[in-house]
Amino acid sequence: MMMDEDGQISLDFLLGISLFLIALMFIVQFIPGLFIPGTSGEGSLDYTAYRTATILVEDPGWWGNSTSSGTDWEENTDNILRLGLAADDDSSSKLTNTPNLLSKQKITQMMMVNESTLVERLGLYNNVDGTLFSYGYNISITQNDTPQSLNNTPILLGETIPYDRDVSKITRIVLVEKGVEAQFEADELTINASEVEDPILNVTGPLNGEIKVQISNLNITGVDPSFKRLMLDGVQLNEGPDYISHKLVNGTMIPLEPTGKINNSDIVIFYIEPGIFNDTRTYELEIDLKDITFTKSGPPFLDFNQYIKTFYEPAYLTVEVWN
Amino acid sequence: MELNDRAQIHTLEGLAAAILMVITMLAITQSAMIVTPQNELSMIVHQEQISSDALTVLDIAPDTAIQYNLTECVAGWQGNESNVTSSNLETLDNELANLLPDIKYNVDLAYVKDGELNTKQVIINGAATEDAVVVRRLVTLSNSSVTSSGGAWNLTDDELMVVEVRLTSWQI
Amino acid sequence: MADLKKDSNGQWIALSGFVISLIIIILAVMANQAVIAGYHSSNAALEFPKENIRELNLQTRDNAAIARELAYEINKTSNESIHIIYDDLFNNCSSQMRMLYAIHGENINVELVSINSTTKVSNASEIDMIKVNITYANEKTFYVAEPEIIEVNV
Repeated sequence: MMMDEDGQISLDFLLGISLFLIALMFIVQFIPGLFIPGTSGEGSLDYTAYRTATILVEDPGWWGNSTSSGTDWEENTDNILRLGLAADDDSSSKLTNTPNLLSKQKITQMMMVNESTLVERLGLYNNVDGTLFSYGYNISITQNDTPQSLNNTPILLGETIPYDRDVSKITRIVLVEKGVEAQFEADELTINASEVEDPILNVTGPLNGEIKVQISNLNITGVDPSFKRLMLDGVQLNEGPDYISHKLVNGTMIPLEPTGKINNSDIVIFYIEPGIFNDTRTYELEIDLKDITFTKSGPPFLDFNQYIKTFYEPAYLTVEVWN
Repeated sequence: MELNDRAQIHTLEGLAAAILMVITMLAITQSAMIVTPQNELSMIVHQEQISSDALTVLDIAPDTAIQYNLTECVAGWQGNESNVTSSNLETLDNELANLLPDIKYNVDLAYVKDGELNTKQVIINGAATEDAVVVRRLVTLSNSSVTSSGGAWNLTDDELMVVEVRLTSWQI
Repeated sequence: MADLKKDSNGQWIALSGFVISLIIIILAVMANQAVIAGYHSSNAALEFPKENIRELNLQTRDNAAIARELAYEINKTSNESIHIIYDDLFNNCSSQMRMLYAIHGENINVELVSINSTTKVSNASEIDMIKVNITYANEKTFYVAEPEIIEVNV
């Protein structure tokens, strides 16, 4: 009888305690899931990405030593206090009037700044009780999802983005300096008297960056007005690797096929790839056209460099940060 | 009989404890936290930022970057309000569409004329969703800038008009 | 049941369940507190109306330059002096901006202080460097630039 009684009690106790333990285990495995999405760490990661992108896009940066300071840190890379990419025409005032317009020199210099300076000056680290943990980061400037090149290096900083982490990402629209552009009216262009359809430009190097040549108000004189080729010092340039040709018809860009007819209201545009005018000398760039004539004869030929302006294109600056 | 009576007491206790803990747990997860709004907030901030960037870029763009800047686009407005099928300010619409892929937007113009505030819809791309954001940018028009862009603002020669370009944007 | 009532052993399993529930609640409240703190601090930074303030500043600069051009233009045919014309144009723009900001619940004020760098007074005949006082206020942020110096003769 005594034995029986003990047996029943422990079965009851066993059932009670195991119910309790099952519930406890269920809760314990729930606890991390309960608190992790709520930690303030993730919010601050979002904020880090936001802040980094804001500083890069809207601030011209700052340098300083004991005697002087300014926003032109790209020329004083030993004393950088803050990294910013916005172009600034007055380096003594702390603000710029052109946020979102990025300076090519600043981008070039930022790519050369060493890793630890970059992390420190952009604040890409977390300070936990005095110990610094740097975040993983990836900063890039892209156009059509491909990183932009600057002097043949893609503008891409940091590491590849891990797939197994939470990444805070922010994208900003910016204008980046692509190279130089010159716009011509057709009657300004000069020709060799013998070849009235082939205007020639004198281009003085070195010019790095992309080169955009724009010609408007063409004088059509035949039935098949079209573009044939570009010649550089008598050597033909290759469409594709060396340059791309377009015509602008009522605001839309259309590729300029060799046979496509050109109207006199069209604007003809050539994009010449970087690296063609690398040497310090004067090049002769000849544009071979058909059934389009020019009147002003040379030499001297028109000086391309007098017409150049910096040209910008919209691009996306993306900052990604993770722990 | 005494045995039977005491038999389930521990089981009942365990059950009560388990139910209590689970209910507490559920109550906490249900009421849980301001976590989601944090994410939502940063999404909204991102959306605001990129929309605002689009207007900024259009506003500050030199001639060599974008053919018509924001002032020129607005100055060229013919004074017609848009409806769903036709948009005014097509150049602005095209330029914005280029800068903001995957984002839909409407554009309104607000300005003060004769001391009264006017708001006109000029680009309509659909009905704004709940999470739409509004960003804005100002441009100042004079009669000369209106004339050179071929607009119909009817300004006098000694008049300046400040126009607010209001962009309402949302994710598709 | 009578025996149950007399049972003085105490229902310790149920009691521990209760205690654990309490602990979870306390933990959740504390974690929430931390989240709220982080939320408010990063919120303050994310919600700062930097675009609106900068736009006010940049637009004032634009206005200063546009008004200058137009003032010289009007001055050719009018017998009003240049600083009066400029004053009018600039203040007119400022009041328009004031209205446009007001509909978004933001109170701004742009006040012309002087239009010349050398004489420091507003009745000068040359407009080269403009000083303005800019203030901006919404329900959370207050911004003042006094004076904001704008060079317009470039």
